[in-house]
Amino acid sequence: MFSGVNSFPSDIKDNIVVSWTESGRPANYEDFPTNIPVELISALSLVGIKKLYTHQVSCIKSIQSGKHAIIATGTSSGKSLCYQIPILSSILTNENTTALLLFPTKALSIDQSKAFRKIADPISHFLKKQIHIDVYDGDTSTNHRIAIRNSTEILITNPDMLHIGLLPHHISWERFFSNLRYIVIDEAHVYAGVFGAHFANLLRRLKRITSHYQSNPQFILSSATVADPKKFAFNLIENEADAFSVDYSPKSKRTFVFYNPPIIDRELGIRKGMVDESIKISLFLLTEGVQTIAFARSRVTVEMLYRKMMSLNAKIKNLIAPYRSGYSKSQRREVETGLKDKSISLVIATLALELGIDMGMVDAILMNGYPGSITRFLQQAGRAGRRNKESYCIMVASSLPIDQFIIQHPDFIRDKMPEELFLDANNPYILYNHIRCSAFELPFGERIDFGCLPHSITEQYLEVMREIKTVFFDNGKYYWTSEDYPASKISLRNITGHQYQLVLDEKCKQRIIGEMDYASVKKFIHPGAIYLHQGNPYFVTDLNHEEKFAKLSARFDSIYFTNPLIDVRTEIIAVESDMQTPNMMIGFGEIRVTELIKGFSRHLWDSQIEIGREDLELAPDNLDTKGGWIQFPEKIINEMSENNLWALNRLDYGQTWHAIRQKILERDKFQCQHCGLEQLSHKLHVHHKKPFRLHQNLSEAHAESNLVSLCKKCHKLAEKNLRIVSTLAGFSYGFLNIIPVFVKCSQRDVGITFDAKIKAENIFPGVIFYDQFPGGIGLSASVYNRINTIIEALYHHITLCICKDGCPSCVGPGGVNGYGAKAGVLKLLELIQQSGGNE
Amino acid sequence: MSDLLKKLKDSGLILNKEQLIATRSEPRKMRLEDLYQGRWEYGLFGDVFIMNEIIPYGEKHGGIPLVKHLNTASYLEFEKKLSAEDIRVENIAFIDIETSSLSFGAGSFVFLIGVSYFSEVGLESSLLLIDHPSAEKALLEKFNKDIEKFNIICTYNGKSFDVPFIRNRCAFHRVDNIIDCKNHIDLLFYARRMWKLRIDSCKLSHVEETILRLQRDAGEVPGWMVPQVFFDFLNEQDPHLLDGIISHNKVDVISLAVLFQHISRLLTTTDESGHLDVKDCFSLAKMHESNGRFIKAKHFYKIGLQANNDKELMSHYCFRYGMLLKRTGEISEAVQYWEESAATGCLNACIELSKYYEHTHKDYYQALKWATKAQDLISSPNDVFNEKRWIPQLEHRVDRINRKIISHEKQKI
Repeated sequence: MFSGVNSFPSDIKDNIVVSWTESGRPANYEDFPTNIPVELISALSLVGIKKLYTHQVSCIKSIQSGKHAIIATGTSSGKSLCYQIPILSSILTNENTTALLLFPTKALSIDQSKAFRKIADPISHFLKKQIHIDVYDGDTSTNHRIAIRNSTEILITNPDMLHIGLLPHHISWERFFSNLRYIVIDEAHVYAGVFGAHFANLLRRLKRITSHYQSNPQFILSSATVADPKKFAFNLIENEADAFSVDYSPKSKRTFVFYNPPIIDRELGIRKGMVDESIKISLFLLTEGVQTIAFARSRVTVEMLYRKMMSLNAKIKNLIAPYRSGYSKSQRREVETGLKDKSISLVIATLALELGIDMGMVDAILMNGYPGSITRFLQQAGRAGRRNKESYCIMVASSLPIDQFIIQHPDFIRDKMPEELFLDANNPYILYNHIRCSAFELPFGERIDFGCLPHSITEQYLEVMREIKTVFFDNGKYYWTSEDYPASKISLRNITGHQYQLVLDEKCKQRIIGEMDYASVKKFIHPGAIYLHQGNPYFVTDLNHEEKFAKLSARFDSIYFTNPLIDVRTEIIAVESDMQTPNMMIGFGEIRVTELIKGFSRHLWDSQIEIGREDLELAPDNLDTKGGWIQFPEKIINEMSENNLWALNRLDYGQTWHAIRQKILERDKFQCQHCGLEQLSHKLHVHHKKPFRLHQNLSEAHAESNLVSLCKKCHKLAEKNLRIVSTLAGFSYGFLNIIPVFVKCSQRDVGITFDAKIKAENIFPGVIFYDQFPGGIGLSASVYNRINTIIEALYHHITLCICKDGCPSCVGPGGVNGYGAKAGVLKLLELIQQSGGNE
Repeated sequence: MSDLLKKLKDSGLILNKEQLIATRSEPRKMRLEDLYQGRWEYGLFGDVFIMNEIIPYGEKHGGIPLVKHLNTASYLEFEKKLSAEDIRVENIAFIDIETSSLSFGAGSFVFLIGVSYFSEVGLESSLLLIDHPSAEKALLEKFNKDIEKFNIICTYNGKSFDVPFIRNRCAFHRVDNIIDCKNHIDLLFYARRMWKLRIDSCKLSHVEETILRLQRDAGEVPGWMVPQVFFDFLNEQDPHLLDGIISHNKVDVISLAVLFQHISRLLTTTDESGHLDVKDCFSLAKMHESNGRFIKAKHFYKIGLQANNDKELMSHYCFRYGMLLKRTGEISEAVQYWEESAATGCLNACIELSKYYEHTHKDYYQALKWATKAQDLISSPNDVFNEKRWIPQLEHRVDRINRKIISHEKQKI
């Protein structure tokens, strides 16, 4: 009988880095708030709800007193009731109340409408009047739409439908908008980054319309655990909201286990593969009868796990079910039933969100790699835990730096410190498109209210639109004077136009599986690329710039993926803010990024080892965005050089060295090639441009093109630059990789460059990090605001790393542009953190 | 150019070809009343420019003269909600609108409403125009006042476009929705049933050209260009630019009235003079048949079939006529027409004949002959009408007939 960490065999137990147990606790209940109608209480009791948790009561009271609210307690804490109850109360006391419920996916919309109906139907029965709950999305038939418009009370939809179907046609929905009392935003934490910026602007448009119809709806946000829910809510809805994050629902005992695959090469920092280790654990749990859901980061991993497990032990075939996205209803039900009746012991899946609420609870969760964010981690972990039974959450780390970071810093999970969610609703490109849509929906008048955007800024955009004749200024208002239907021109998931279609080439047909903006296309969809779409690998067979599409063919058996090799230059265009500490200069502002994609490399899936490279010929691109920078002052650099950590060891240059050296000196006419100083041969140095240590063999290292005569002073400088560059490279690598722990983003969202010469107020060596989105989306801003915390964490992370010189888990593999950067980076971090007025 | 504009252009969000206008309001070059016959009506919500004209009875519009006191009772067969009193021509307002967009959405507005109606002296047209969007509410209020006295409005495709559009705009401006209280005759419904067989498109402009034989003015603006031309007018403030739109709307609203009369005539006629096109005869036949006016329907089937040109057309309508005859109990005559139709390759006729001989006449050999002929017709190479779907039914039929033949033979013995 499995009873926790001690039940594991030693080959598993030995690699458990840390484990801890959250003790179970009973629920905290409170009485129903007094002004809830009796019929509602009876209906609730009919579906088994006789009491409410404390957080539910507080939230409901807040809403009933007219406030906006955000409920951010954990999974299965009854968040839905926090909005269902106020809405139904309102409908019972005032017939004309309507409510808008926004869900990010269709599957969720349907699940939640069913759940809502369970409570609403008994009430309809009491009242002898139907309470209408309708899902409104792309599949809704025309006839049904008309019926919904005329009679619905509770409208369930998604952001895209709101954007293109509801807002531009609000006139037909007058009844609905005039009586709108509540706007519910579920899974609010998904509205961050680009999507969040779009969504915030959708809400601005919505508010303009409700204000036109003189309804003043309240916002109720429901979200997974987030850092600072109050601030997040304010960023999204531009209103103060009461926040409720303490969870009073019952929790059973839960044990967390962090497993790090054992080291097989200490110097290079290489560990055993995550997949094999995870399989070991899964099989063990299977034999112990512990019902488990295993989460993997990509579909490829799901398939790999499944196939490998089957090949090891064919008998368990019927006990394991991979859960693929795009399953039909009946396929989902099969897995759900299998879990319920225990015929399935292990489900392997990607996103928790896709599992739906009927999947039920299991005994254990096994995560293959860190799911990318703390919020997602907690959501996935929340799937384990039957009533009164202990559950387990096991994470197996991969060699990705962020996995290694988390596994060494379990407090981020244990103390529930989710990343900060950022969004910048005022990204100019996003803003422009939404102001356009809003101008279509309602002419902008003298009181140009667009959320909290200052009037002067809204006016700027309107004037631009007037100049290009999209709107006409007449009698104090800007009227839409274009045949365009602006909502159809924008996608809520990207910033500018230039969308490319991703077309999947299947045997006899083609279908569009997605869209991508131009900038990303250049990076990830170049010919020859293996592109990951929703976790599945596709080979890019064609890229057509005129007609803006890319052809992909499925390659689930691919053993490698590709990474673009990009040459990036950055330039600080404008400074918006800066800070000086004694040890570094930090700033934030507008950045211009010039990217040139030179080629791409191929990497094995499992180990990420590079297996080859190819060149590409593409034109460079500009990106104007926001970003931050760190510069290191002279004294820091000097202190590092003086520390002599970098003294060159005696290396064996081989017996031919002397002759070669002479030859080079003769070629260079005994002149320093840098400053022109002429010297006698025994005083001149011959310098390897690409460091000796990096070459495969002597003849390559000593090739004439790689050698240059330098005087002692210039030689020292050259070595010094080399050192600096490699330290900066390591610093950038580490910094970039732990950003996602603090700020909710994926690695692709932020870019970083380093240079011995960064020009801000003055020129110093340093790094520039920036949002990979035109106009910026608030990511770098968020990093800038927490830079000291991040630097501190980076320092700890590298200190704890087991490698000697540098490895993929901390500062990058040893030998990047120089020798391993670990020592240099550690010293740098130490120096810049030294006190003298930390912010 | 502002920084913001430059930024947006650089990103590709604003295309470089967009021309700029610098200042907010240009001084007016000319005013509407300088160019067009009409008068302003000033109001609280804006000013409306009204252009009235009369076409006296007897004058032609295209190839059709305007007639006074036309009998419109034939419409009653199709408009069940109306009474004879309702359908009097003086109760009808013909309406056509011009809008800033051909699609719906909160950003589309109406700027020109054309109304025409029959009076004592002729067909009067009244065009209501605004020259800037903020006056839309005034336009709607004026329109409401003008149509108050009519109880029927007549449009072309108004059920899908004009009426919902006006309904929306009235809702937006909080103006009463008068138009929904009126009865509505949509001539597109009639045009399709009348002429779909003969002309390719039932768009009003095409119907005007082919049926009313109207020559369009070169300067006129086609429907799809109206929004863009109006925007040009707004930006340049040059009333000349409105010329094409105004004439387009005027012609449409007059054509509507003329079309109304023309269709009325067609619905009433018996075509003694034999001038009607064959296809029109058949269309009328179908229309009358659908209303239960079998005598009229038969009349037109016969006329059409006498013309005797297009083989396929004849074949099909022979069959249809046979079906009508069957309904009215004239089965032996029906059979004659079916045989004629079957001779020219009509599958349905063969099937009907087989049915008749099997169930009514009880001549199983004949029944079998027609059923197998139907099968032969299907196996011909070009299956244009998806006739293959009849195969199982026919097999079933042939089997059944064969069984009956066998049992019949047995009985004889």
